[in-house]
Formats: sequence, structure tokens, C-alpha cells
Amino acid sequence: MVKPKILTKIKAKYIYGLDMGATNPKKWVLGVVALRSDAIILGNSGIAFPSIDNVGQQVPKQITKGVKNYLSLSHTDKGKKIMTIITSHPKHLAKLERNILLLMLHSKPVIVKHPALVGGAINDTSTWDEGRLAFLKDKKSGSEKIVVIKDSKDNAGFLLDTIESVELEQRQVKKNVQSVMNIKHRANNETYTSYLTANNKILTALMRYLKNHLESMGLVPKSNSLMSAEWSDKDLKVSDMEEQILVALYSEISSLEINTMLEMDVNELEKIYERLIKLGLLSLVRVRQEVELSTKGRTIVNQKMKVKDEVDKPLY
Amino acid sequence: MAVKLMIVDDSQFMRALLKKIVMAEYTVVGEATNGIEAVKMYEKLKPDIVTMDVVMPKMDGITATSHIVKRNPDAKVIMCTSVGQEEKIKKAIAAGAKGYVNKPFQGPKVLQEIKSVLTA
Repeated sequence: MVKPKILTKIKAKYIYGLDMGATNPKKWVLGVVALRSDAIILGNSGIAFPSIDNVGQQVPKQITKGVKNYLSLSHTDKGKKIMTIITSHPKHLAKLERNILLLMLHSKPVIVKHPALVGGAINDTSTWDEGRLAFLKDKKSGSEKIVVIKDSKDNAGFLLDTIESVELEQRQVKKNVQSVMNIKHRANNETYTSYLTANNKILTALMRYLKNHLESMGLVPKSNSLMSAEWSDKDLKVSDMEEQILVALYSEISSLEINTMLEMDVNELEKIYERLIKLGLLSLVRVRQEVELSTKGRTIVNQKMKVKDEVDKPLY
Repeated sequence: MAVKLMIVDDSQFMRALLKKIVMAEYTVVGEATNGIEAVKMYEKLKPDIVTMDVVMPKMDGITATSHIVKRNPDAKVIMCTSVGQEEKIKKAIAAGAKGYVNKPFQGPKVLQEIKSVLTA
């Protein structure tokens, strides 16, 4: 039998095997948490990956009193649902969580519809296809990529850096209505929306993985909700006019034509662009110069036209 | 001959946006701000294609589409829905809509959808 490989070890404090719903504080144990390819080892206790039900559930404050950062794992041991909490340096915890989620998700079966929408238009040719999750590095960009290795057709891939939002919603998949992840991402200068579903455990873990990634990149605000990783009206501090400008740009209206479309002063628009750039909602591509002819320029044009007129003059 | 297009949306901004997207290829003959106006305007202007918002005051886009299609079964209506309005898309198709785009949309995709509905 192949001996399971130890992937990482961190110094941490932990509480193993809390009863679900427990509120009485328990003593933290100082020790080493080792991540193996098959399980998480905490001192003499171990949590096999298949027994993990959920990662990152909130823990009653009484238990985590005095602890700022923690990672919770809900798991089943001999038929009993229990919880383990680990606390360590935030960087170590984030890495540990990421690796646990990756190990939970690797090669797990999913169903994907990719792309379901292209630029807002429904893609009639896409179908629900079965496949397995893989986490790779994109050869071209070096970015992290989630790939659904499909049983039938071409694989479906999402570059993590191009994901704009993820959201869980109820949607019809073949004959059943179930929880589906709505992933909005960009590829080849177009916005794609793909749908992905799996059993609840996989879907929740993937949602957490993507949410952590988007939050760490600053692409979405930090929130406790696992239903979505996107900007809400509450987070967006933009005015109606700014919102309209963002929608127009999304629709691929040229930034130079928006003042005409919205019948607004160009100076006012430029100020709004500056603010939206500061907020990180727009990126500056190029500064164009607005010019008009000088007197010398007009003279030259008159002269050139005169010469041209004489050259072009018909001979008869 | 220029293809005549009618835009139906209660938001002035969305009408301006759609107009900007389509104006290079189509002639916008009318803009309606609710379903009742849309039905009347359709009768009068007889556009080749209509882009129709779903949620509007007085009469919604689905009801307006069913009125238009009752009068002209060949009417070409594209619904503009918001993400997550799958049920409304189904109702719109049942009412006779021939195509749909989700908001927010990208201009080229709207043009592609219009073209595909016109040539269908």
C-alpha cells in the first residue's frame, strides 16, 4: 500500500471533535497540524477527507473567544457530526484551507453547461455535460485554472483571474431543479456565463474556494455569505450616473462616445472616469488629446487645397 | 431597404443604450416606455423587429408581446431580461418572443441575436 504523503505542516492550536452546536469553551491544544494527501492529522487524531462535510462554518463566539482567525471543519466520526477548529497565523490558515479544499475537490464529478450565455445572449448549442474537476496552471498566462474534464466533448475551463462573479441559484438541470453555480467569466474579450452543479458538499467547497480566491484578489468584497461572491448594491458606492456609464462600457460603447449618448458634459464625464479609475472599476487604456486647428494649421490647409485644386483641375 | 427596429423599455438609459448599439445597422423607428405604448406603436409603425424589456409599468413586456403576436403571428420580438429571470423567458417564449438577451449585454451579441431572429 502506498504511504500517504505529507503535503504541509503548520504549528497551530486546535480543538478536535467539538459537538455540533456546542457553546461551552474547550481547551485549545498546541501542536502540529499536518496535511496529508488522504487526511488532516492533528496530534493523535485524524480527519479523513471523505468524512469532511463542510469547511469554514461559523463557530459560536464563546468557543473562539480571544481568537481572531480560525478555520473550522465539520466532519463525521463514527456516524456523529462533529467540528474541529484550527487557529494559526492567517497566512498559514489561508494556505491550509486552500489545500484542504483542493484535495476535497480534485477529480470530483460535476455537471457543467459551458458557456450557457455569451455576452448576455443564450447559447442554444450548449448542453449539460458530465465531467470531473481538475485544478491546473494555464500554460499561456501562468494563471490558475479550473478545468472540467468532460466525459464527452471539449473540456470546460475557467481562468480564475477572469472570473467576475459566482453565485448559487436554483436552476433546472436536465429534469431536476437544483443548486447551480453561476460563473461569470471573460475569455477572448467576451463575457461568458457558465453553469456548474454537483452534490451539495462539492458545490459548497467549490463556492468557498472561488470566493476565497476572488476576495484575496480584491475582486469582490469580503462577506460571510456563501451564496455569492459578487458586488452588492450595499458595497457599490456608485451613483446612478456612474452605474449607467459602467453598464454602457460593459455593452462595449466606446468611452469616447458615452458623453454624446448620455448627453452630458465631457468634463463631467472625465471626472467620473477618474473616480471610477480610483475605485478600481475602470482601467486607463490611453489618454487621447483633443485638438483644434491653429491659424497656421488653417493656412496650411487652405494652401494645400489650393494646390490640390489646381492639380486636379480638368484640362478642358 | 433599411430594417425598422422598435425599442421598448421604461428606462431612458436602456433605450439610449440599445439605440446606440443598433443604430449603425438598423433604423430605430420608435421607442415605447411601457407595454401599452408598445402595442399601439407596433400597430402604427409596423417595425421589422422589436426589443422588449420584461418588467415595465402599466403593461409588462410578456403581455405586450402576446398582444403584438396575436395581431401579427410573424412579429419578431426579442426579450431583454435580467439574469435569473428564466421563468419569465419561458413565459415570453410561450407568448411568442423569438429571441432573448440577458442584461447586462454586450453590444455585438445583441446585434447577433437581432440578426439571427431576422434571418430565422
